[in-house]
Amino acid sequence: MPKEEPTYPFCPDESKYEKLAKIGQGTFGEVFKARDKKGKVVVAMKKVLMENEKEGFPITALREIKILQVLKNDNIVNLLEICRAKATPYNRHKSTVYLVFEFCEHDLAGLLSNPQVRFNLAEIKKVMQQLLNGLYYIHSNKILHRDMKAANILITKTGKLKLADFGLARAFSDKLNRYTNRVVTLWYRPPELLLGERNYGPAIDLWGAGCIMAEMWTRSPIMQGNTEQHQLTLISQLCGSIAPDIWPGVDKLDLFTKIELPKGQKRKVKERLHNYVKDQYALDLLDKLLTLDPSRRVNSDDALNHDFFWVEPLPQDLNHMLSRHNKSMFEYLAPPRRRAPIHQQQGAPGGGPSAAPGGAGGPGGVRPTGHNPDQHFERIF
Amino acid sequence: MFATSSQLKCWLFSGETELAKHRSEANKAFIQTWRQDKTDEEVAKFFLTPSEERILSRQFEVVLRKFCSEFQPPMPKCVIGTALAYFKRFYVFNSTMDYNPKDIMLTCAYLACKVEEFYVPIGQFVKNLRGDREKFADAILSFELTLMEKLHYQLTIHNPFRALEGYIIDLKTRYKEIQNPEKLRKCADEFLDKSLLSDACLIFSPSQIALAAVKFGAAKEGISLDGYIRNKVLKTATEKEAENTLYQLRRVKAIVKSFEQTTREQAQGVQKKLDRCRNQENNPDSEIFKQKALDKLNEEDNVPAVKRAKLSNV
Repeated sequence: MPKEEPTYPFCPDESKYEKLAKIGQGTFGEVFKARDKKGKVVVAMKKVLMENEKEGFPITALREIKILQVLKNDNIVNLLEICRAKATPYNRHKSTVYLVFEFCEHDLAGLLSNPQVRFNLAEIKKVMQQLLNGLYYIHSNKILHRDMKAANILITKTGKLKLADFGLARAFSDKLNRYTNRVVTLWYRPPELLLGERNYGPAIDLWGAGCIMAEMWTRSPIMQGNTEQHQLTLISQLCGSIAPDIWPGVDKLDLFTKIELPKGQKRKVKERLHNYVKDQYALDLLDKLLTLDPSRRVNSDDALNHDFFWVEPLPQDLNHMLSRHNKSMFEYLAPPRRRAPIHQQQGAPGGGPSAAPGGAGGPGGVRPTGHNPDQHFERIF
Repeated sequence: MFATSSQLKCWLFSGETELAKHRSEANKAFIQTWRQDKTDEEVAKFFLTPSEERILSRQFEVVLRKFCSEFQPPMPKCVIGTALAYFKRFYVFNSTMDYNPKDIMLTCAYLACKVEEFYVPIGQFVKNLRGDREKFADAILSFELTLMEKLHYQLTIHNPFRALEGYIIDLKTRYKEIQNPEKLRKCADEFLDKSLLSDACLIFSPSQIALAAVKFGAAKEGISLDGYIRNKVLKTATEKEAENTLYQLRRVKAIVKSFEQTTREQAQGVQKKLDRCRNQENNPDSEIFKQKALDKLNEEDNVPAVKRAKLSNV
């Protein structure tokens, strides 16, 4: 035995836990709520899918393990241990590995899809402050998340926010890199990835943070493209035409000439979001997060210093608001959010939960339950 | 960061004595499980002794390093260092009779490639091997989870290579007494390379190993770094701490230098003995292993049928 008790005590048998409910389904496997039979501690168990893996243990899961063993922060989901279900005839001699996490009661997508859950401005500030704080921490540790979206933002019942799902995360360097650009769920994917950039950095996560911030008011993802082309069109309609004058060097990106980009679009971030967001500081921060040129997009440090967080009303803990809700809210378990994205309700009055029925917007109008079919993953790099 | 790592917490041992103790416990535990009613005399004849196990594992460390250094595409140093560190960690608490070092060695290299972001698909990986490549691939993949489990999923290895770069930069910027610190690199590299075949990575921190490499690399060039170590590296250390660090550096040197190549005859003798006493359940060539794999395959064949059946119900 090692000298001291290791942080991840030898991978105990999975039978140590009893599964209570399935709370998530992703490309990488299922997530369960489970309870430690002895200590009665409630945890979340993420199953690592080994089927279809000709290359053995998935490198993405290896990265997740490695990264989460290093990242220890209040705003990052805490990996408790790893456990293995022994190969037996009952599981077809397949040995399965589970990552065991501390349990968080809600995810942000689940909360936003419940009209009973209302965030006031000070609470939205607290959500965004914790989210940016998590990003600041991982980026200073040279890690990219690469899958920012509301469903990957967990919130405990006391209102602590945790960035979760590091299944696409990887370490980055400041050198010239060639990473895959097939990451990030389409609706949260920044323009540089959509245009084929492979040498990208932390700015990709801040675009996602911008999308999520807007969603705190709109209550559904703001740009729900069906294809990459469509997504770029929606981005251009909101953030203005993508061109070298506002984004020097964009014409050097692989897909810039190969994809049709709307021309002559004016930037309307503040104007369009004004229907939902009345706070000027919020609009200004959103404008800075949803900056097309990644080199000019605000970083997490500067975002945290933005006046939004430092003028009244100051960020306010969520525990009081959440204490009114005693049921877990996860996107996976929630009914589809029946609100059209903002690009389908131009002119529609903001606010009020009864606005714009979802069906009107066609397939993009309703957020699918469970996992998003538009997710693009690269399993190797 | 090394200071908060599982390497420091769980995988550094006090010295060769402690390592020998763990290894001999693993040896004893294996024999206890498999001796049946063999007398002590028969046990000694049939099973490997702890020192025979050491001959075997050292032999395979040499083979593993050679495999890695000839690997195509060329492996970065950190992959080699990580592969060897995995191999050494594995055999601190496991017997070579339980898991054959030949299988574990390749699995260590394959896992190290993944973890160090030097990803080589399994098909390409086994092209570096002569013989039945499909069989190698199967063996590597079937031991991967076991290896990860035995490493307690602590997969991040802090190698001394980065620390060495750090010392060279530091020498260039803070110690002008040496004109061209780059000339120490060759000897220091050789020292680190040699350290891969010793237990150094199980006893010392990467920065201690790297500092020893620079110091003894310099000594070979006829340069003394005592001034640098005393006045720069250990500037803020107490007298006691400084003494201890210098003592540790001497220990690193002694352990790295103590490496003895096992002879082919020695290793072959042990191999022969191993063929009889190894755990057949973990031997990819054994009937019992094949049966298990076959069961698994048959079960898998049934899966699509079940899925189809379900679909047709819808």
